[in-house]
Amino acid sequence: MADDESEMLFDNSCDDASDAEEDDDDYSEFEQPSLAQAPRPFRCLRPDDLREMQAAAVKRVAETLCCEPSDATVLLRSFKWDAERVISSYFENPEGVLEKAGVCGSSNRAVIDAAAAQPYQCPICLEMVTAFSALGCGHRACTPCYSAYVGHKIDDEGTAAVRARCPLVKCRVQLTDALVNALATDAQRARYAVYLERAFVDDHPRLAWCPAPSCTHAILMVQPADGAPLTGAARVACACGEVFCFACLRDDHSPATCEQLRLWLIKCKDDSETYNWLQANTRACPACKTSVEKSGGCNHMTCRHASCGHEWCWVCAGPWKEHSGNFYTCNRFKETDDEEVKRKDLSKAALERYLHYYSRYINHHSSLMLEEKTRQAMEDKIAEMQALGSNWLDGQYLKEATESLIACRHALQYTYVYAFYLPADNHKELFQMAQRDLEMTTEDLSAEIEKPVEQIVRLTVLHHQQMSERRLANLFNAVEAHRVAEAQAALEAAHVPGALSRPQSQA
Amino acid sequence: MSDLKRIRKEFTECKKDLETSGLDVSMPDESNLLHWKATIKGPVGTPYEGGIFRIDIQLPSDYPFVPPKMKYETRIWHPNISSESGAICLDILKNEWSPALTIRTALLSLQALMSAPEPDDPQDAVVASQYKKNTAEFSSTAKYWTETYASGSNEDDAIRKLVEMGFEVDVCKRALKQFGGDENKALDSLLAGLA
Ligand SMILES: [Zn+2]
Ligand SMILES: [Zn+2]
Ligand SMILES: [Zn+2]
Ligand SMILES: [Zn+2]
Repeated sequence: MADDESEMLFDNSCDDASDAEEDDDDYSEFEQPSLAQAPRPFRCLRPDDLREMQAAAVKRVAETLCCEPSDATVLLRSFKWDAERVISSYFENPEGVLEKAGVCGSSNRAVIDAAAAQPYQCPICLEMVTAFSALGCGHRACTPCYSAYVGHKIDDEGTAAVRARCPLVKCRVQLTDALVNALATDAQRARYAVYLERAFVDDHPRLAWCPAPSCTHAILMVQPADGAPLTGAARVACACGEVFCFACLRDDHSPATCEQLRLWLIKCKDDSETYNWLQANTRACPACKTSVEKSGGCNHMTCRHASCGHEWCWVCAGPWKEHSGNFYTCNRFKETDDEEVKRKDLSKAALERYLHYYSRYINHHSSLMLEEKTRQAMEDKIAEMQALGSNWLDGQYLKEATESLIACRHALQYTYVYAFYLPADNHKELFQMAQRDLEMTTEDLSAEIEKPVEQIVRLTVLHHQQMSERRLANLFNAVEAHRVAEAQAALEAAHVPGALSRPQSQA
Repeated sequence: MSDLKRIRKEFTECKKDLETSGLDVSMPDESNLLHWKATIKGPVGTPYEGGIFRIDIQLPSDYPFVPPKMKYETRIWHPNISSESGAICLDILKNEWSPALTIRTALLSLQALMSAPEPDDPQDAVVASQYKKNTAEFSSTAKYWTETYASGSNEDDAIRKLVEMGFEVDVCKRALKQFGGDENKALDSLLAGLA
């Protein structure tokens, strides 16, 4: 798909190196209204909402199929809590659905602590007894043994207790919550209720627990109108403030995919020993060798040593002078054709390539850590401005600018994961341009808001902030456009045989 | 807390039909009801015929709600049993365990497994692939292992063999006692003593 237009677009912006600020419309090609940039709708649910949602599904199935609520629960569990699918499948093949789920036909009810007409041998304690409990399958055990069995499942098997079966050999009938609650102790009942709730969220494909340590909320992805299944990464935000990817529960990692991030994290873990030094927060000034500590998120370093004052880039240690305009090439690793390099040890080349992406990834990552400090510093600055006579509202733009900065750094961090796994083609060139542009304005924004209060120019901050936000959107649009194009290409490739067969059948 | 009453009952039941079942059980330490030893006669018409296979059985404290831990002490060449450790791959000893099963039914299942291996759910990959690719070779290896390891369970026989290898009778007796009659382990320890 090396289309001429993208080729031209790339050449264009490389040629006019002088006006980096004016080239915002370069990506207009990607700003098509059809692109799904809007995040998929989701809701944050509290424990009460979850119980309500679960109860509603049970009620719907129990009323439609005229069955016990506890049987409806078992049915729903085996259909991942899709009530409509339970109902339609049941009407198609009632016996099959019941057997698959482990539910007995409605004519046989569970029995709790009844007396048998004749003494029988309890299959668990092997004594002759008359008292018994049983599920719909009619497999009896004496009530103390049945209670001990249920208790063991809850005490020792954790969430798996939710899927416990009749104690008889190879019987697949599921324990119902009604029977469990009748036979368990109070403490066990309470724990079982927790397990039921956990299993509900775990089994439901559109629900996920918020990964924040003490948060009890879950995120519900709203069912798309076309019923399309959820695929891929999705950024969600919990009411507690935690932002994460719904699909893999890790940090929001767009534009990288879940799989890319997974591979990347494994890779980083494997190689972490080698690259530990990258996380150090001090580096020697390239000019005078004085150790310089990185004080904010900005990569524009200025040596504080009295006579030096050298300005350099934290990432590549090159002079900062070369980092303005389109000469800013810190984000790009040159996949060179050089024969010299080709003859080099391949593993060394691979390591260098990884190191390039990793150092930039971890740099934005550690800048983000410092950005938390920046948030606090910004509060202090606003207070300082108030002291200087401006009113509190006037300072709020700095807070918004800080949030934009954090969002850009967050995305930039994962753009290196995304780029690492891209093949060297047109899309990669375009992507790295968008990445470079975003990186430049992000550094500009970072530098501006880190200035002393009296030097901060509101209009400049707003300008850099708007540019950053726009370029962030451009970058995501480029990624999405590429994803859509690839999906379409795959779809067309799959349809080729059908297209060929049609003229044949006409002939 | 394990159900000691049931365990005693199970032991008595096991002792009832020794002749027909081809099984026998014992408790090496009468004061410890949770540790059993069992023997299974190799099923007729299999490469294990004529062999006596010793099984070590540990009952967990929450038996019968969790399965007994069983492993072969006698070395055996079988796709579902480790030729190294004697560990067994059998569903009823894992996730398909039910408290309505007993040690007797579990041992009968092992006997059935010896008659009909399940190479698609292997414990020993080497044995399983041989079983699938070269049945004749598998049978002769299994038979050889049966003759080598499973036919000398008679203690006198074991002592005679060890003495023939040049060890003192008393030393052999002590070593065999220490390893519950396992002549291979006894031999290993005797050889280790020489080294
Ligand atoms: Zn009982
Ligand atoms: Zn049953
Ligand atoms: Zn949360
Ligand atoms: Zn993800």
